[in-house]
Parts: sequence; C-alpha cells; structure tokens
Amino acid sequence: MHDRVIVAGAAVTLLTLTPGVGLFAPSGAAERPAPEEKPTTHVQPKKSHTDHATLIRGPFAGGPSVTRVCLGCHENAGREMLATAHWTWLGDEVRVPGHDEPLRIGKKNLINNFCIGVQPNLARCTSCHAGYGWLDASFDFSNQNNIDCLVCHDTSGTYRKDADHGGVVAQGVDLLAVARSVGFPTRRNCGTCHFAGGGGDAVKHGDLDGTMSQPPERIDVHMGRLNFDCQECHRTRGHKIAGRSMSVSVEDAGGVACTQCHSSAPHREQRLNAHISAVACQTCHIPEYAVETPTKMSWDWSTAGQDRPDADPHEYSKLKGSFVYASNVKPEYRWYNGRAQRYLLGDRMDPNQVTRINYPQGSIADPAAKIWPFKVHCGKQVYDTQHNYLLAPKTFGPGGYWTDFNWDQACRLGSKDTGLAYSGKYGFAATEMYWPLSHMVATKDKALQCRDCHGPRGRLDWKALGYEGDPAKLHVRLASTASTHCGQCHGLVHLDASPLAIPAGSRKGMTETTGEVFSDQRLCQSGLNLAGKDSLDRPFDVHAERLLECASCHQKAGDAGRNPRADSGSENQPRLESAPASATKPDHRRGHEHNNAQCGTCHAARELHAWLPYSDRHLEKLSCEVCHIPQIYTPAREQVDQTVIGPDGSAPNAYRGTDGSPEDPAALIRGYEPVLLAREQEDGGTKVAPFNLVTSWSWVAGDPPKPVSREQLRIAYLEGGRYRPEIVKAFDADGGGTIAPHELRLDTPEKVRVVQQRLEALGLSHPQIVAEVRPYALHHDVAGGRWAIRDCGSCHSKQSRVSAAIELAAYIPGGVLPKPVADAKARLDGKMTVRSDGRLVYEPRLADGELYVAGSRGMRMIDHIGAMIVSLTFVGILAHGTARIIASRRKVKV
Amino acid sequence: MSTRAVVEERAVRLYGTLGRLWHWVQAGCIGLLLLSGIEVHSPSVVRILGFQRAVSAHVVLGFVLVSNALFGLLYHLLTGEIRQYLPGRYQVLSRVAAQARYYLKGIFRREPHPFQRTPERRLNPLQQLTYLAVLNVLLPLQVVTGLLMWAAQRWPGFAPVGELPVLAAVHSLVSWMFGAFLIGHLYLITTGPTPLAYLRTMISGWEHPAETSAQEQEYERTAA
Repeated sequence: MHDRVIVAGAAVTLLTLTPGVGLFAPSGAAERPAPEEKPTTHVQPKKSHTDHATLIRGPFAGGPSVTRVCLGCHENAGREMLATAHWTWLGDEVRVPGHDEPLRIGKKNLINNFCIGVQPNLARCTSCHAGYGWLDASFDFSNQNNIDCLVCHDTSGTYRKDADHGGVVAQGVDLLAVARSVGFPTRRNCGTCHFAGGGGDAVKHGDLDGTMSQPPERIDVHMGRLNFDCQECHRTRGHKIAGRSMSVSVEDAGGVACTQCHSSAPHREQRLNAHISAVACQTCHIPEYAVETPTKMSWDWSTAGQDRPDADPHEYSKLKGSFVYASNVKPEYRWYNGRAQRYLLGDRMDPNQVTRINYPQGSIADPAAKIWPFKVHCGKQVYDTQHNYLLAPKTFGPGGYWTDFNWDQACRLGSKDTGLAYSGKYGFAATEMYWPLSHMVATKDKALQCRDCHGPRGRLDWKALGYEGDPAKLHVRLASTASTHCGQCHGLVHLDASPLAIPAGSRKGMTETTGEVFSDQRLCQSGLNLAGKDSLDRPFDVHAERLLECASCHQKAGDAGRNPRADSGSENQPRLESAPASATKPDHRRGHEHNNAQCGTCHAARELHAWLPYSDRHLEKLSCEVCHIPQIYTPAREQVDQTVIGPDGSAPNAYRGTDGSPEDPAALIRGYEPVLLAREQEDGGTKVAPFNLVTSWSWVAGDPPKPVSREQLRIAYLEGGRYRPEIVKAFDADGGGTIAPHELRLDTPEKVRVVQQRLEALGLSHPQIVAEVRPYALHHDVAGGRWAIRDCGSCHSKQSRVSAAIELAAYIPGGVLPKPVADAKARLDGKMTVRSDGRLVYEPRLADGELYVAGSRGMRMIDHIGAMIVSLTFVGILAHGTARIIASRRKVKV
Repeated sequence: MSTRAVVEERAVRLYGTLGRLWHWVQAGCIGLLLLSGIEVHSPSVVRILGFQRAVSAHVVLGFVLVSNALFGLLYHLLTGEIRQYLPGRYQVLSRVAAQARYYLKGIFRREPHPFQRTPERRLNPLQQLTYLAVLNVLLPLQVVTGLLMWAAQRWPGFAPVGELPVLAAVHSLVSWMFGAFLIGHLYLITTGPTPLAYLRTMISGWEHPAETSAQEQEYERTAA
C-alpha cells in the first residue's frame, strides 16, 4: 500500500513539474545575444624589462662597441636582426604585378614621391637605418657589430643618430647612460623614424606623428586610452616585427589585423556587421587623419631652386620645391585586397598621366577586397623624357641637387648609383602614392555614421567604387521628398552636420507641441544645453540616423488619411495659432496617424523581443513607443494661457523640459519623460502609448459660448499698447505700477472679475474661462535598442512610469480645471490634482484600472484590506500570547 | 523497566514520512512564494532577487506547490488520511465551541486540551475546519488565479475570467490571507505541552506523551 503511494506520488510530482518548468523556461530564461568578448582580454600585461643599469660597464668608444657588449649576452639577437627588414631594407621574394620574375623589393631599391630614392643618398637616408655606417654599397650587411641596438632600445630619450653620416651615433651622446637605460621599445623609439618619415614630423604617413608619443584618446583610442605600445598590435618575435606598409610592400602577409583582438562581427547592430565583408574597420573608425599635426598632401619638386627666403617652410623650400600640408583630412576610399601594384625603377610611365607609384589592388568584384581609407600623396618629380621613366636623383652630398641646384647633374649622379641609364633630358611628371590608414583610430562615438557615407552628403564616390549609386538608396529606396521640406511646417528636421540648435522663433509643429526633433545628430554633438549631455551619445531619432526620411513612414500618398485634430470642433487649438495660413496649406494628405502596424511594416517585434520575459504580453499591451521613446530631450509646450494677453498681444506659453525659456540658449534643458496613456488602436483595442499633455485656458462668451477673439481680448486688456488702469490696479500685486510676467495670471477671483467686467463692457455676454487638456502622441525621437527602456524596474516598481504624474500647469487661470478634449483617442481618465504649491498635476490611473502592472502601486485597496487582516491576526496572537505568559506566571506564584 | 523505556514505549507516531514531507514542502513553498510574491508585488519593500528573477522564482515555486498539492491529495485519498480533516457529523458545533473555549479560557488555567491527539485523530475540531478552508478554498483559489495570471501573460490571446486586474486582486487578497494564516498557525503550534513540542513532532513524527503527562500532573497538582 505504502509503496504504491510513493510511486504514484512521485509520478504525479514529476509529471506536473516537467511541463510546468519546461513551459516556463523559454519565456523568462531566454538570454539576449552574447556581446562580443571584451577585446582587451587579448591585451598582454606589460612585461618588465631587466634593469641593465648595473650590468653594463663602459666606457664605450662608439656605437659598435656597445653592440658588442649587447651581443655578448644576447647571442641570438644579432643573427635575428640581420634577417629583418629593419636591417636589410629589403623584403622576401615576391611577385610584383607587371613583372614576371620574383623580386626582392624594399626601401633599398624603391622610389617614392617624397625624397624619391635612397640609393644615391645613402649617407642621409640611412640615418633611419638600424645600423651604423651604411654609406655606400660596400656596407657589410653580415657584420653584427654594425647593428644599432640603441635606437630601438634606448629608454633614456637622449640617444640620437647623426643625420647624415650613415646612421652613426651623434656627437655628444652619453653612450654609457643610454646603454644602461635599455628596455622594450616604446612608441617614442619606433617614432624616431616612423613619425618622421619623409624628412620631418607627420610628413609621410598622415596617421603617424609625434603626437602619438603621448597621445590623448581623441588622437588614437588604442595608444591613448589603452596606452598600447606599437608591439601590442605589431606583434614581435625574435626581432621580427609584424606589419607591412603598402609604401614598400606589395602584399600584406604577416601584417596586422584588427581581428587579432576584435571579433569579426563586433557590433551589436547586425546591419553594421553586414558591412564587414565590404568595408574595412578602418574606414569607419578612422574618420579623419592628421588629427592634430598637419601632414604633407602634395610635393612639387619642379619649382625647387628659387631663392624665396620669405616663403613659409611648409609651403616652399628652395631645396625641395612647393608643398601643401593639411590636418583633419577626410581619407580617400579605394577597394583594397591587401595586395598592391608597385612602380619599380625602370618601369615605363606616361608623362601625360598621373603615375601611380603604388596602388591598392581590388575592386567591387573582388570578394577579398574591402573599401579602405587612404592618404593620397600627390607628387611632381623628375623623370627621363627620352626613356619615359622616373629617375632617382642625387639630392644629398657633393654634387647633389641640394648642393648645386642642378637637376641634370643630380640625375646623372643618381643614375650611376641606381644603374638606370639617363638620357640627359629630364622633365617633371605627376605621381601619386597611396598610404592605407590604420592608426589614429577614433573613439567609437566618432566613428562614421550611416549618413557619412549614404545620402546626399556622403563621403564615398559610389560610382568610382563601381556601384550604380548609393547602395542604401538602391536597397532602402529613400523617398524622393526631402524631409527638410516637411520640416518647414511640421517641426525641426535637422539633417546636416552643423550643431543642432533651435533658434528663437523657429519652434513649430511637433517640435513645439511635443519637443520631438527629427535629426540624425547625436545629442552630445548638438548645440543644445542638455543636462548630462556628454553621456548622451544617442541620435535624436534613430530612424533619421538610419537614413529614413519623413516619407519613408508617412507614405500613404493619395490615401484619404486625415489629421483628426485639424477638423475637430474643439474651442481652441494651440497647434494652429501660429499657422493662420493652415486653410491655404497644400493638400498633401498622408497617413498622419502612425501606429504599431507601421512600426511592424519594417520591424518584426516578436522576433526581436524574444529576450523580453512575457514578450507577447508586453507587445500586446504596450505600443513600441513606450520603451523606444523613453525621454524627449528638447522643451515642449505645457501650458497655453489665452485668458491674459502680453503687452505685445501674445499669449504666455509655458514649456516643460527646460529650466528657463526654450528660446534661451543658456537655459539648461532637462527634457521630460512622456506620460503614458491608454490609446485606442485602429483595430478597436487599446495600447499604452507615450504622450505630451498641453493644457490651454481661454475665454468664451455668449450662448452658445463662442471663443473670445484675440482682438477682443486685446481691447479688454490694452489701450494704446499699454495695460488699462483698472487692469494694472487689479494685477499689480507689488505696487510697482507695471505688470510683471508672474503677475500676469488670473489667479484670484478679483482679477477674473475685472477682466469679466471688461469683456462685458465690450458687449460680450456671460464671459467665462474654459480649459482643455490635449494629448499629443509621440512617434519621433525614437531610441534604438541600446537606449530603449530595458530595466524592468522602470515600470515594475513603486516609481513606475505607468503611474508617473506629469505637470499640467504651474498655475490654474481662473481656477478652472481643464477637461480632456472630446476627440482624443487617448484616454485621460486619471486624476487631476492641485498640489499645495498651486501646480496642476495629472496622475494616470492605468495601473488601477484595466492594466495590471506587477510591482507598481496598483491594488492599493486590496493591500489595505489584506494588511488589516494580517494586523488583526497579529494583534490577536500578541494579546493571546501575552495573556498566556501572564497567566503562567500567576499560577507559578500561587 | 526504566522510566525512559516507559516513555519510549508510550511515544506515539503521529505523522508518517510522506505526510511530513508533504507538509514541509508545502510550508517551504508557501513561505518562499510569499517572499517572492512580495518582491513581485512591491519591489521597493523586498529586494532580494530583483524583479525579473523574483517573477521567475515565483512561477517555479508555484508549479512545485501545485505538484506537491496534487501529490498530497493523492496521498490523503489513498491512505485515507483525508478523514483527519473531516469534522464528522455529530456535535460538530459543540466540539468546536469546546476547543474555542479552551483557547479563550482553559489555556490560561493550564487545563488539558479538550481533545487528546492520537494518530487516528490528530487535529482538533477547530483545526479541521481551518485546514478544510485553507486547503479546499484558499489554496485552490490561489493556485487557479496564479495559473491563470501566468497563462494570461504568456499567451495574451488567452482571456480568462476578468483578465489580470481581477485575477491579480484576488491573488493578492488571498496571499494576504495566507500571511494571516501563517501567523496564526505559527502561534498556535506553541500551544503544545512546551512551546516547541508540536514543532518537534512535525519534524520527527513522534509525540512523547511524557511531556503531556508531565503537564497533566502539573495541572492536577495545581488544581488540587
């Protein structure tokens, strides 16, 4: 019997538990997609280097004597160095496009369009060679003692190489101190040559310059924020340093890649990850190069040799010719598959065309190619007009151009060193060099946004890249009507790069009634004085950021869609008062009533919210806007008081979301949290949606009551542009003889009576104040997932947004409480309360009625009853227990 | 025969293993459900798991409670233990009154319990009525409203009686009642021979009449 009970009980328990837990699990436990593994986990901790201060004894006669001491302990280092490009200035054998046999190319035998070629100018150029004494072809590349260990390993900062004696140690260097300071190379060591390529700081690369010795993060996020040494990315083993420069290599094997640390799909936004097959990381993340120090953009040798002592050395030098420098340069964009074409000495060129000294390979048809950012350096340099090839002239040293300013002689001497025949006839030809950018990676908030490439002010030349046109336009089908046209009436549309501002008098349409702004700009980059601005790196509206235009959603052209507000019979219409020409507006009726069905036109809400517990329930009860418009960041109209009139005939308006007037650029803008109301859907159901509430007061008179016109009100209050004496007498509380703005309120029965009498004097019968509150639905200022409400507690808590009150008015003109407008689709069934400071506040009661929001303050009645039952029980047992204790004591005593 | 042996001999096994297991699982579930329920209902009052996890815990515990209740029902039916809860047909009122009189009067005079606990009749008439109400009214009501709330939120198309605002109101009210019951229950288990005697019995299953008789002796002595 007993056994059967156990078995049956266990079976029932299991049977009930399994479906229960199983059903429950997928609903709450579904996780959001795992974010990218933190890239910094790949960063190696900085190693400490053996302190050589006590290990090294001098004195040293010269560089090689130090090297001998180094090699005494580091036996392999010499052999390793002899094989590196830093020593040989030559790469391994490669196939160069246009040349059949494999070649070894490198700095040693290539030319560029800066100082052109090293062979005729070795003594000067080899001041950047990691060795001592490479003056001519007789240099012994097998002698390890000629290696310059110190240029890379000095940490004292005092080591210098002589500028023009084949890289020997400069005069006056304390070699013992330098040798004792050796450590791992720092950015400064590498920068000795790589920041100064082309003959000076920042000249050559554009993305490498002296600011990177100690860069702030706005110059480079890796070296600035994370303090990376070069080797962090240019991983180094046995003195072999990873990395290839397209200026001297034609391939990128053994190069550096972002994916060493970052995943190949690092963005939360899948649309961005979809770009990765066609766009290099650098393209978006290096929006500009030469961030601080100007870099050389062009170099014209043909003008050299003139005596122009007054010329700016950044524009002209007698030795070198004319230059153009630039900073904060937008890169040029080309397809690049990691391989490059290369002009080699002796290659034929067409002097009438721009000769590309190097050029990235790849095209839109090449699956390995991506769009990369480049610095393009334009040159004009000497060539042989008979043989039609570029020459490497001797510029430095005896007989060189910089000594005698004689091109013919410079070319002749140069040709001896290069072995390339010189005909005796020279000219100057245009050349180009391409420098792919990988440094000066900006912080992510500065990365390019959709509109930087797509849309009318995009920076890519789509046709040149092989596209038919802007692919976003092709695929997204941007509407032809420009949003800015809509903005002329409907609110602020700001789609250009200038910092967004709302100048005085420009508030209109939805920007006035709700504070909504249609702009792709990030809040932190706007010109508005926003509270907490620095951290607001979201755009005003994510749809604007994603290239949508007004017409992308409002596209029911030809539909009889109407704006229900425009033809409602309500007494006053704040939104129309500034648009008296509304009657003559062009008939461009479109679907103004925007609902979830329209979000659903593009968005698959159910699939996207699988992570959300009880997602179906949330989607059933809430409009998308509830979570995706968490906050409006610009001021919105709150109260319109047409019961009084300003000296200029205006009605005082009050705004929410700002500490001052919305016209005051210095006032701090806090924005506001929309109020949530139940809103009828087209299918007859209701959903909660966010709103702004605008309350307005005005006079009506007659039977049936008709609005008192602005003109009638003006006559009632003003006479010859000034307030009438009886008005001043009633309103001027402080006896100042004038009516201050805060006194211009119908806040006492006396004031109301005086105005009533004035209106009656104008022949109006029974003048009285009416008031209404009008909800304005919010559909713009949409936040993407990252900025949407995700915290359960923002609704499921005591401070729930669902029951959060919103201020309707700072004061109540005439003591008349506003009524909800009759035609509103939103239900205003909450409570209006007057706070002790005179403010009128709307308290929604959604959570008390149809909507149950766990954790919010609903169910107060039930809780009171329940608490009473529990308290009574508790009091009962307390009394009983006490009585028991007392009783037991008495017994013991007796 | 030693006194101890006599006591051991007279010890009575009031609760079987399964009965106790059922009771304690139920007790644990109800306690934790109340706690997580408060967090779901009012996250600012109780903050242990965080809202989201509290909801999850509440749902899981709810299913455990339902399973345990079904198991309990089966156990009570199959073993006939169900009879323990039935007050019987005769003199119900007067027996309830006697028990009530004891709690209101007799207990202060150290009178013996009007009804001796035996394995055949563990519960006094008042208890029988209370448990009948708790197990047959409150618990099913809570389980049904809980399940309906859970289902209504999972499958919004599923529209049970009254929708969430009604269900949640009932569920909240009943949970307050459970709270009241729990307080009363915890207090009344201290009314045994010693304050912890009933608790010990519920844990071990055994009641030691030594204690009872000691109390009775005490009563007789003081009465005399």
